[in-house]
Amino acid sequence: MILIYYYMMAVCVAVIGKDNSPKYIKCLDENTALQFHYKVHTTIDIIEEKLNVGNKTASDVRELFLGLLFSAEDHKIFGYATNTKIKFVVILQSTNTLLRDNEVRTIFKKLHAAYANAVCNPFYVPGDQIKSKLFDLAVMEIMGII
Amino acid sequence: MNCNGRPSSGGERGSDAPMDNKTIITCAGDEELFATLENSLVQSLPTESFEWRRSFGRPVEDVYVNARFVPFSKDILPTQKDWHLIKQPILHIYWSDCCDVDIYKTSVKDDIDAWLKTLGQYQVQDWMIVLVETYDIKKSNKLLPRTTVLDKIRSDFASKQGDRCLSIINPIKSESRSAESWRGLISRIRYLVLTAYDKTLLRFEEVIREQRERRNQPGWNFCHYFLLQEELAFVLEMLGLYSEALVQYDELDALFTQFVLNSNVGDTPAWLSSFQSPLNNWMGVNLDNTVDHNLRLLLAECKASLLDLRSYLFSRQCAMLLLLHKPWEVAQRCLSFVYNTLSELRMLEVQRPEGAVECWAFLCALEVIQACQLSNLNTENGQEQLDLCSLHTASLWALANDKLGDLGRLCGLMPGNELTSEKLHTVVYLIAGMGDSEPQVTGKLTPTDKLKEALSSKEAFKKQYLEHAELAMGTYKHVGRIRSARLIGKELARFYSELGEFHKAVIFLSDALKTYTDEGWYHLAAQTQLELAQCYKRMDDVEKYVKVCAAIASTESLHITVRSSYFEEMFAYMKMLNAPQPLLTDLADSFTILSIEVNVTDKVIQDCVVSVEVIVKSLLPRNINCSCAAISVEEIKKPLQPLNKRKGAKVSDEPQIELLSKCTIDDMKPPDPSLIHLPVYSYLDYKQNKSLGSARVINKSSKPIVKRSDSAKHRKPSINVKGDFINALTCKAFTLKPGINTFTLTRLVDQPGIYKVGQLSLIVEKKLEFLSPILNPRLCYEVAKTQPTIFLKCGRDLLAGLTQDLELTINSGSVKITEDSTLKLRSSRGLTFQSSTNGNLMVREMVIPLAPCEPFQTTKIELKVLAELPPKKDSSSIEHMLTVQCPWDAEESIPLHFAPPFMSDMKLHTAERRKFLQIIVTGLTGQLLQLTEPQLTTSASMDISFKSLNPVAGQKLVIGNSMNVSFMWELEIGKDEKSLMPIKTHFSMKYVPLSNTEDSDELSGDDDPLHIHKLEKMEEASNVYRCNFDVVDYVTLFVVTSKVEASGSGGEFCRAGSMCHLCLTVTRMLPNPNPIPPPQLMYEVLADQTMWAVCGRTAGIVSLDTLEKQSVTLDVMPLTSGYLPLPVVRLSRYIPATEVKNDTNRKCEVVTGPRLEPFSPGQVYNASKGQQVHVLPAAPLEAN
Repeated sequence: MILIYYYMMAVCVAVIGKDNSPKYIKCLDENTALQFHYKVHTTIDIIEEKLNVGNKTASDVRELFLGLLFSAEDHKIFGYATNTKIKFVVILQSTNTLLRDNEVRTIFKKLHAAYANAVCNPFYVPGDQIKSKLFDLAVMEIMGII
Repeated sequence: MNCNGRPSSGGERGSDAPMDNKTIITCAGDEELFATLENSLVQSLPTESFEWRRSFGRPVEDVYVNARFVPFSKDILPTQKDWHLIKQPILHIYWSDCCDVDIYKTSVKDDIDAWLKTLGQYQVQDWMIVLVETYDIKKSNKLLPRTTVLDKIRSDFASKQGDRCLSIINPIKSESRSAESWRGLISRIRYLVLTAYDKTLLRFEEVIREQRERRNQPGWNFCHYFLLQEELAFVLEMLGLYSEALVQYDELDALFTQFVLNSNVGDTPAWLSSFQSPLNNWMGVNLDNTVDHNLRLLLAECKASLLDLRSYLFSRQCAMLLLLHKPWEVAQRCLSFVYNTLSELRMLEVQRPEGAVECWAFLCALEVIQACQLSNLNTENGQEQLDLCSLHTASLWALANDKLGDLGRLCGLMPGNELTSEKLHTVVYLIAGMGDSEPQVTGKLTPTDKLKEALSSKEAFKKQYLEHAELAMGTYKHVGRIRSARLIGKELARFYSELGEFHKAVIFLSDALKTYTDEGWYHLAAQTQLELAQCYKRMDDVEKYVKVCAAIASTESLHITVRSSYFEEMFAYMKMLNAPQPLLTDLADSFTILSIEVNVTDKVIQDCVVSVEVIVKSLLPRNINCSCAAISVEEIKKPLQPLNKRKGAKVSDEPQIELLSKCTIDDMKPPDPSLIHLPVYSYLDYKQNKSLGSARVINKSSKPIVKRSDSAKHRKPSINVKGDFINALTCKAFTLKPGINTFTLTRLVDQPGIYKVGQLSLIVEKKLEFLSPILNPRLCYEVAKTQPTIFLKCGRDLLAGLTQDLELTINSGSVKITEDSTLKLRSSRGLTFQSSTNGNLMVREMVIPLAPCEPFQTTKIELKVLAELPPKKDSSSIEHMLTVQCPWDAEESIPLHFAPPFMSDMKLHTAERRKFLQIIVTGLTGQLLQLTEPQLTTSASMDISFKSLNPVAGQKLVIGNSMNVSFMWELEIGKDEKSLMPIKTHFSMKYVPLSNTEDSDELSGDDDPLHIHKLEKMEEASNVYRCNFDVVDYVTLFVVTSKVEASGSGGEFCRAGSMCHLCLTVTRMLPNPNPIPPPQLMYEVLADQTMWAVCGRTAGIVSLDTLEKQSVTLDVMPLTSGYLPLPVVRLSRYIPATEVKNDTNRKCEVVTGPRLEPFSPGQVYNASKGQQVHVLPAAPLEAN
């Protein structure tokens, strides 16, 4: 069980809107949050590169997981983009190398489901910041806080 | 200098490396013979590619065979235990030039046999026997050679593998003939070599697999395994199968990675611990496309460090990639390679001196970049590849820069750091660990040289750091990774600010700030602003510092203490501003406009106060004094309207300016396209059995739902320029609290027009002005000016000839009427008036002072008007004009229509010679008028008089609506008066208006028995009416009498149906008829056809020129009985057409036919008019 938590630990989870502005960003350690903010921001470059690749085949279109976006010394950044161009970015620790693509996909699927629930709230205005307790809980679960 | 004590590699490794891996072919037999052929063989083998068909369905490849020939010996044959691939012979060839069967049998056969046996001992089956023959013409002429040596060899050794024995014609001796057989030999060798490889590799792979399976057993060593598998890679590389060779390295890479990862969670195998030894060498990767034998040696000795292994492995991978012409993949792999290795170092807890890995990473990055550049230079489509590379080299530059920065900090090379001896020591140590670079022929600096140089001095470090940073940024920008470039820019800014070059730092920070703000990354923007603030502060740019402080103090994401401190900074520095104008900054930085409302009900009138209520959210952490708040307004010019336009048409085509009095923060945001209601409807499709087949949502609009959002959002906002605040609405100083503030801006507006709200400006402490851009949506309000209006009011229809009350109403509109203003009235001729101010005088022109009046009030002026009553013979109304000249420079003409209260008419009545004049006065309106003192006079000099037949007393003569009064006079013409001239008469009377009710009451009252008062009053109120009538043709000329008599048998009574006589008598009344009027008269009997039937002529002509009297009898028959009026006889003057009186007038007389001229009613007196005759019913007797 401990191993599983270890796998699941993300240090930063971010939701980026269609307009590339942050809709939600949470870091494990608030003291180093700024550094992750910068990282998440720069990954938008790579996400856009990946999204802008033309002539996608049908299977590519359905594939929302963008894979490893960037591998830094101590972190690995993974991306996921919904069909509505909402981007999810998860930063995992590089030491967490046992994490396979499939597990990262699972994280993103959870995040996507939580996001969908959050924006289904009729009081949520598309484009606003996400302020939802349930979404917070989902993110915290992904980060292994709870 | 080499800390590992490793032998210096020198130049040898480059030269022997490619030789190593050539296919080794042994040669046995006639070595002298072979020596003559060796050179051409070595040269010929690799000239063409050969199709390599492999077992197990592996893809067929075209490969080149490179071979090296060694003499055969037992020692070089591989044994079963020792499995190696390289440096092992792959094919064994026996050479012989024996052409005689007997010699063969005696010596060569045994030799071959021994050779084959030796091979057989080592289980080698890849052999070949080549028989070199000398071309002999004689021999070839022999048709059937019995048995050749070749046949013998085949039958002896290769009964099943005939293709392993080959005879060739010696090319040395007869070159021309040998070409074909030589080609055959070459291709046979190629074929056999590849067949041998196929077999050998399969076997070798089996060995590798076996070895790999044992990887978890104790005693297994990765290094050994690595070298083993690498041999396969070498062979594949040698065969030109680079991608397959790469696969081998990738497999090794993955295997090692897995070991390291596993060591993290489980036990560390013994061999891995050798990689955990402290690091004392951090040479970078060498990508010069050769095998680094030193490293390989270290590996073989299990002395390699983790960095050594990784560097070697990566260099081999890169070599394969470069051979595959994929430099971009080298760049792509490099970053993860470096990071992966660094994390492995951490995982294995390898002790390393500080800065060592940074050096290594830097060197790797630069080496890879250089290799990419070199590779791109050498290829044809360099630019394309360069772009592909750039995508990855950008991050490599960034990595290099990052690591260099780390080193700089470590070694005290960053600006501002001190270069202590301790740090110098570090530098020396680091440089030592890098090793020496090989001398470059091109004179180009190797990465190692560069790093050494950078670490050698601050100046060099700065130069390189900036160079790398710029390259990283530039490359990022080139590949479109702006955000990454901005991050580098921020690093660079930090460097520059440490250098003290703040103006450079500011440029990068501003760029970054803009990017972060545009994309809504406010947290990052705030951080950037903090850095900017520090730069400005140290640059002593007070203005910008104040602005940034204001923005920081208002950033909600920052901690309140930070905000407060910057708020205080802002205050402190604001005092240093000494420009006369307050410093402009963006309102949105510190304030959010929540709503703006123009307070007007409908329209603002002129000269009034317009107020705008603004609700603003202050983001500043504390109270602040707003010394002046203003909102600019501008007047919208209405398009000039064409003057000739009709009033009705004007409304439609005038562009409407929409007035907007309130907007809130929600209105100011652009509409969110995702919130727009889609025009869709549901559509249900039912199957035949009424069950639902499908449900659809259909979009009604054919336009694409998802529109490409334009780039307007990211467009650079226009620079905030302060507009025209001359007409701004302002308010006095007040305190802006943190949070929501409401204040009202006012201004007295004196010019009418439509105004549009522009910018909002808040001046704080008289020094700092927060200015908004032009507010959108723009509020719009109207200040209107209404001209005063004047109209007349009267109770009922105006009557001429009577004093009428009028009320002049002045509506002041939006104009204020002051004390001294006057109104000038003028009337048209025949209209007089009086007002209460100027007594009882009736005038035609008057100046009336106006009472002071506030806007939108009315004043009234009472007027009495009297329009002259002209002689009226009909009921048409009289028009007058009242012209009013107003103090507001407007002259208005008010038309007034006066109806006549009555009209008069005169009739002439005749009785034989006597004449009577009747004057009928008919009332036309409801106004009752009493008529008194009718008088008829004439001014003619004739002897005529009017005898009044009117009663002097008695009933009052009152006229009203359709009530009339007749006055009668007898016209008495003197006996002597013979003149037939028309008489001009003057009729006059007095009329007094009677109020309908009062007068009738008063009439009955007896308070005033003599009616003196009343008479006086009446006299006062009475007006005189005068009218002239002309009396013409008043003299009776003829008298017509008619009589109906029974005729004949009817007896003396007329009976219906029986013939009667109508006797007409025309009598001339004047004794001396004027000869000029023609004496011929025509009579016409105008009988009512229901009563009378005229028999014979109904008309005839009588002449009275000589006779005074003439009678005509006509036959008429009454048709009914009773008292029948006599048939009317009309007398007219007959003017015959043919009669020519005057020759000169002949022509015209001829043209006009005979005509009748009627007489005036006074000229003919019908004496029998109104007479009746009693007609009896038709005689019954007769019927019997």
